[in-house]
Order: sequence, then structure tokens, then C-alpha cells
Amino acid sequence: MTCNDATEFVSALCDGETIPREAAEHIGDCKACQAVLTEYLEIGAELRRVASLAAPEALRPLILEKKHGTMRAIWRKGWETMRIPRFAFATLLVGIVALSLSLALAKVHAHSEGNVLMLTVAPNHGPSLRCPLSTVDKKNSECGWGEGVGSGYLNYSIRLLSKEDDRVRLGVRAEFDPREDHVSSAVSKDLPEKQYLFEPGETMQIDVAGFGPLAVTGEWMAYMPYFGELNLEDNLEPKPGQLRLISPVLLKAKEVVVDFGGTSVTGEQKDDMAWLYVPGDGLYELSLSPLAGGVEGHAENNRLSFRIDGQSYLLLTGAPIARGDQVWILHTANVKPSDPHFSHAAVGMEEINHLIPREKTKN
Amino acid sequence: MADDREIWKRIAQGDEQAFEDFYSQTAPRLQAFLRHIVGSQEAAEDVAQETYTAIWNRLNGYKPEAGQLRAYLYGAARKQAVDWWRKQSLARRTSDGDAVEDIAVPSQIEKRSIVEDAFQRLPAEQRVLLWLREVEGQSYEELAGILEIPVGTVRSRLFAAREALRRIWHGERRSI
Repeated sequence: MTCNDATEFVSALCDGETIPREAAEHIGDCKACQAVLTEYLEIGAELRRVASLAAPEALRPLILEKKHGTMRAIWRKGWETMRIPRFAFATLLVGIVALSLSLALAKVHAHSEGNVLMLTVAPNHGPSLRCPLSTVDKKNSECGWGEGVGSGYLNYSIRLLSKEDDRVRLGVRAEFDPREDHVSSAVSKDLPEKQYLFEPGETMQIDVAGFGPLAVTGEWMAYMPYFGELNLEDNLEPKPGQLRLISPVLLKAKEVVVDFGGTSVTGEQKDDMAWLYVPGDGLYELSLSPLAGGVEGHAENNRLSFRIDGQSYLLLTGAPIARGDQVWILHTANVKPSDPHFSHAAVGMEEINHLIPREKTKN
Repeated sequence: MADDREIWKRIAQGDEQAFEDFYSQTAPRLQAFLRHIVGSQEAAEDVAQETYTAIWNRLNGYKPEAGQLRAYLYGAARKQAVDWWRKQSLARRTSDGDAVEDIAVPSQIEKRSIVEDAFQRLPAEQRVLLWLREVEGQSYEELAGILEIPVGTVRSRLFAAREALRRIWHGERRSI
């Protein structure tokens, strides 16, 4: 073996690696290779000395920007495909907008009478969500949602069970699933429900195993707002590169495929993707960027029109969908999410190419 | 430092305090590493900030079974440093009309040892490799993960980097 052959093994020796016998014998006998070894070791020692002097004495404060890439799915019981005249829908949408404008006037103070309890559920990290619960209308006495937090998913549902003087009895099921790439749109059906007595105006804490506390506050309102989950303090005007689905209703020809009236999702960052899931019909993904296999739709104010397989679709919403007029839609008819909770209609927003569509099969 | 899995479990749940602790414990050495890659303390702080922000915004990025958290951190920092250099090169191209060489010679003139001077004359990738091996003590497997190259290539590149540094060092010693 020559010095040229052995030098790479000299370097390996510095790293504590074992080397071939031939190389070891050569280095043991060769003054030149031993000199190189010494120099390599000196270089390492000098770099470590330099590093010891290089570490800063004071650290700049860490500024954590708002976390992106979360996914949110909001659901409510009772959605189903139905057929109503187009005129009635136009009237309904006008009504939605009108009601949203008067919502601020409809709030009443805590402890006063009202038949809708507006809860605000705030995790110790991540955005807070609103949950309107009616004391008189069973259909609107439950809400729930799933939220991507960190590498897992926080799901919870809250039912208003009864009103007892100034307090209400709530049935809460909440769980945190830390599994990566596992999405669920609702809390497990077999999770036991815990009951809480909650007095509006006070703060209640719900502890979620593996996640931490949720702070729940609430106030009485005079009626069930259409935009229950949406904080109307947000500007309804879409931001650049943002998709907004405010109370969306999807029609296929003249038939309503799904009506998410009163539910809204908005993108938190550019390129977030919206999705609508309809049991039996599949998944509709919407993006401001082209989607492979998708179709291009035309967005105009609160209407998005597109055609899939010769069928015309119209997505109506209560506010402008996007600033631009191009939206891409990808429909996947046969969706088989691993999560069994996708048994009901759901609408959500997520980072593009991220979560929901990963386990779908096409026709 | 506590076990990587425990630390990451808390961080992955969005525990900001856990992440702050992780930052306090790891940032000084990371910044020292970055200072020798990007050339100035200020840039190193900027890139470090970008690195921690990127990690915080991608909490499913680290897989404990794939290696040490420290290796993941340095891999993320390396990518941020590469982005930083790309932006710097682009900015210089825009202002000068010429491309810059991917060899980082710090603009700040500081009192340095001969080895350190020689080190700064190495290409960025060799500086990254040598620093992570000699200072941070990363194993060949960890280096392979950080640099996204085969383990066998780590050995040969380490040799090339050491030899390049030794030759520059020799030249500088002779010129004194």
C-alpha cells in the first residue's frame, strides 16, 4: 500500500473508524502518514478551540411566527343532500348576509336571558373556535370540530344537555390523537362523554389527555347566528391568495349536493386548499393553484362555476370566494379515508397536498 | 439534555416553553456553527432564527427513529444556510451583474487563528462537513442524514475536506 492509498484511512482513523489491516500496517510504519494524522488531529483540536470561542454570550430572543399548516374540519349534525328551487337559494344567501350584518346587535350580556349559548373554546396554543348551542333547538344543540395541532389532531364535541338556572350542563368529548398523518374529522364515538356545569361569564377548563387544557368561555345570545363558528370580526374580503368558503352550498345541475349553511372555513395562508366531503359523493378539493387531474372553475364574487364529466356545478357562498377568478377543483368520487368518522359531511381547509386526499381511490 | 423523544413529544404538542428550552440549550452552538458557514454573527443569528421557525412550523418533520434531534437541527440549519447563500448570490448577481463563487469568505475581518482562516477558505459544503464532524461530533450515519449523501461518501468527503484544509493551512504557515 502506498501513502496515496492510505491517506483516506488516516482521515477515517481521526473519526474513530476501524480501517483495513493493510492500511493500518502502512500507517504504523510510515512517518509521512503519521505526520498527516497528527496534522488532522491538530486541525480538529483547533476547530474545537475556535468553536469554544465562537458561541455567543447572549442569545437573541426567539420569535415564533404563527404556525401554519394546520387543518380544521367543522361539522354539524343533520346535513344531507336535498333538492330545493334555485330561487329559494338566492333568497337564503341574501338572508345569510343580512343576518351576519345584524349579528353584533344580537349579542346580549352574560347572565341575561337568551336561548343560544355562544361558547369560545381556546386551546393553550392554536386558534380559538366558537361553538353556538341552542337550548331550544335540538338540531343546533351540538357542535364539534377537529384541528390539526402540532403533529396530531385535537377533536372535540360539545353538547348542551340542559339549562339549570343560570348554568348549563354540557356533555363534552375531547381527545388528542398524536399520530402523524392521521386525520379524523370528529371525536371517537366510543369516547365517554364527560359532563360539566358551566356558568356563562366564567371560564371553565377542560383537560384533554396528551394535549393540555382548553379554556371555555361563553355568553348568551338572542338567536342562533348563521355564522356560528366564524368570528365575524374577520374581514369577509379574501386576502391575496386566500380561499374563503362562507356558508357554502354546492349544487350539481339543479340539485343540492351539500349545504354547509352557517359553517365557514378560510385559508390561513397562501395556497391553503379547501375541501368539501360528501358521504356517497366524494371529496371536492379546491385550490387557487392547478390541481393535477382537476378542472378549472370560474369564480365570480360568491359563485364558483365548473364542469366535471359534462355536469355543471355551482358553488354558492355567502361572501367572495377569492380575489381572482380562477379556482381549480378536483373531485374524487370514491374516497375511503382510514378514519371511520368520515361518515358525515364535512368542510375543511388545509395546507395544499397535505392531509385529506392521501387515502383516496378514484373511480 | 433530556431524552430526544421526551423533548420532541412536548414540542410536537405545541409546547412553546419546551421549544424555548430547546432553543436555549442548542442555539449557542448552532450559531457558532452558522457563523462559520455564513460568515457573520448577524447572519448566523438570522439563519438560526429561520431554522428554529422552520422547525416550529413543521412539527412532524422530526422522526426520533431516524436519528438524534441535534442531527435534525443541524440538517435543518444547513438547508437554511444554503437558502441564505442562494439569496445572497442572487442579490449580488442582481447588483453586480456577476455570479459569486460559492465559497464563503466572511466580510467581517476578525482576529482568527491560522486554522480558522484556512477553514474559511474551504467551500461551504466542506466547512459544514468538517464542523459537524470535528466540533459537533456527528457520526458518519448522522452526517449522511444531514447532508443527504451515502455513508461511504461521508468518509471520502471528510478526507477531501481535511486534506484541502491541511493544504491551505500549510500554504498559510509558509507565507507567514
